[in-house]
Amino acid sequence: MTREDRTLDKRDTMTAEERLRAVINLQVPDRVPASSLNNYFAGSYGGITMRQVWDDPQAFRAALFKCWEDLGPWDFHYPVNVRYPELYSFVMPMKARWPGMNLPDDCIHQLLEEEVLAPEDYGWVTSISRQTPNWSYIRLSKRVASRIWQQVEEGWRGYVYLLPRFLHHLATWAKEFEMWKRKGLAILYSLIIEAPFDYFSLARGLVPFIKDVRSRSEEIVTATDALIDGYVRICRLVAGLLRVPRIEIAVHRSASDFISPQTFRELSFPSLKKLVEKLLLHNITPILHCDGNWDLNLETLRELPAGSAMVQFDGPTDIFLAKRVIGDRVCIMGDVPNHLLCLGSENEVDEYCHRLIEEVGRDGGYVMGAGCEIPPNAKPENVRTMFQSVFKYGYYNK
Amino acid sequence: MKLVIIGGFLGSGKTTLLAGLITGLLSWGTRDLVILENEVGEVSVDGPYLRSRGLNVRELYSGCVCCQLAGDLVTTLSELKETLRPRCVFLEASGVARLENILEVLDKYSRDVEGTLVISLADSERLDLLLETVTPLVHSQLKAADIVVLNKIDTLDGTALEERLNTLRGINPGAEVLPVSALKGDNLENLTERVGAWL
Repeated sequence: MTREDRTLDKRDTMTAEERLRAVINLQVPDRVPASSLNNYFAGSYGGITMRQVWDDPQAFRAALFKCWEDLGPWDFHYPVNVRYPELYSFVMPMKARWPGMNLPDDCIHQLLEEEVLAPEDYGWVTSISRQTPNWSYIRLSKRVASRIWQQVEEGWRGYVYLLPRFLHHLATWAKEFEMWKRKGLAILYSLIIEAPFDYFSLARGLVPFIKDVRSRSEEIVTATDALIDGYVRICRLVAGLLRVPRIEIAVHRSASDFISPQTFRELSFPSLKKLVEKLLLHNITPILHCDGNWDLNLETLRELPAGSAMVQFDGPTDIFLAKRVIGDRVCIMGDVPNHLLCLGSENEVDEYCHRLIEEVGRDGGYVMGAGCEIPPNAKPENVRTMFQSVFKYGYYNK
Repeated sequence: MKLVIIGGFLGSGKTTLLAGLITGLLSWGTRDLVILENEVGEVSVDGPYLRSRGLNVRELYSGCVCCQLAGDLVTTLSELKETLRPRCVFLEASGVARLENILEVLDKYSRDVEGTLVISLADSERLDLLLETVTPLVHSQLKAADIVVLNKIDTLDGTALEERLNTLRGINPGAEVLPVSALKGDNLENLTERVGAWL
């Protein structure tokens, strides 16, 4: 395949992979790239049920491809639908209701705020991290999966159940990655994990966890720190197998919606920063998925190593403020609001995207995208307008 | 069609309060009410019981933890107005919802709601803890309210009750602050009267 075959528009002078590396390094690419978490919308646009989005990879691939052909192109493939719900516990350590399982076929999955880990598990995590540092993340996630899914047994049988499914999941993603690469896209990341502090927040349940923050803060700091080597191990393993040296770190519960900026700084950020730094030592780029309002945490994020990470915002954060505060440190992605995609007009979407490109995209370091996931009821014409905006306004050498 | 939004942090007693409030309104003969539940992470309101009393109970399914329900809410309200023509819709918001975001989207996009009343719950037992640890979210939920309900007052003595009421008045001086025990029904009639008069 020639270089020209791998560009998405005849005006492009970079491939999507080169563009992605440029924006992460805070260099100015040929144009602003675009990508979005596009799971349920692709399903809805492609005419399949929400159940099929998760359990029928072939149907989902066809739906996403139709979406890309009709409403794209976009630059980076943004994978999210893990092949088995049991493995989803490794991404979001929470109980959930699933379409086709305990929800109607066409509902989106619902996360449940229940205690999966107990207070004693902080000590257990610290202990296993000392015994087997490289395997601590896998051991913890297996314990969580066992408590969520009856079929994932405690002990070695649980691994026997999970391992073939994990390998099948990797094979499915590897196949999809190759398909999208052939179309000229870069792959955004190879694995999603939850940041250590946020992992405990999700698995303990928000209300119990808030009590822990007050009464067990030392245990939280010790356990989250102890887990880092286990996180790095799984990231290196998957990034190597799928040959995509980028990892998405979801930070769902560290926004100031859930904890105070001081708690973020003292209890969450230390392990997050350490994880980012260790991944970078292994040439793995971290992509932080920051849901909620991060306005009050932006100064702290300045301490991340410069020019080596991406931070995604989903709407509640003032992305224009973020550009001013951390735009010289990290690449920023986002944040066309979901309500605008669902309810706004094409003109409104166009104007907002134009502003994002002019202000957040100034001097590079920016990726156009929706705030978090494109909702299933977004208007197709608005989604198209968002993706097209980078070709309309996003070239740096006009 | 009017809209009552019941907000408040996870576990603050929204479900119990809503069930009590609706039961009170029904007993006064108020009809044509619809309940919209946003299910994220909480036990749902007693749907079967309320349905047996002739109420329509709908669920709004949220996306991921970021709770992007606003778009769905607008389209659902529009559909409800067209199909059921209710007098009032009661929305039980997610415990992690920022109410001002919901109000902003409704203000911008919804032409179906003639008036909105926001009731935010504060949990007597955990108010100090939540104000210390989840400060911005809890403040935003309380500040967006027309009526702040201090719930679970049966767990407080007189001094502690007065202290908490003062704390809430300080956070939202413009709101009416009502002490209630939704579980025991204490002072619930007062709130029901207030909502009934607004309807």
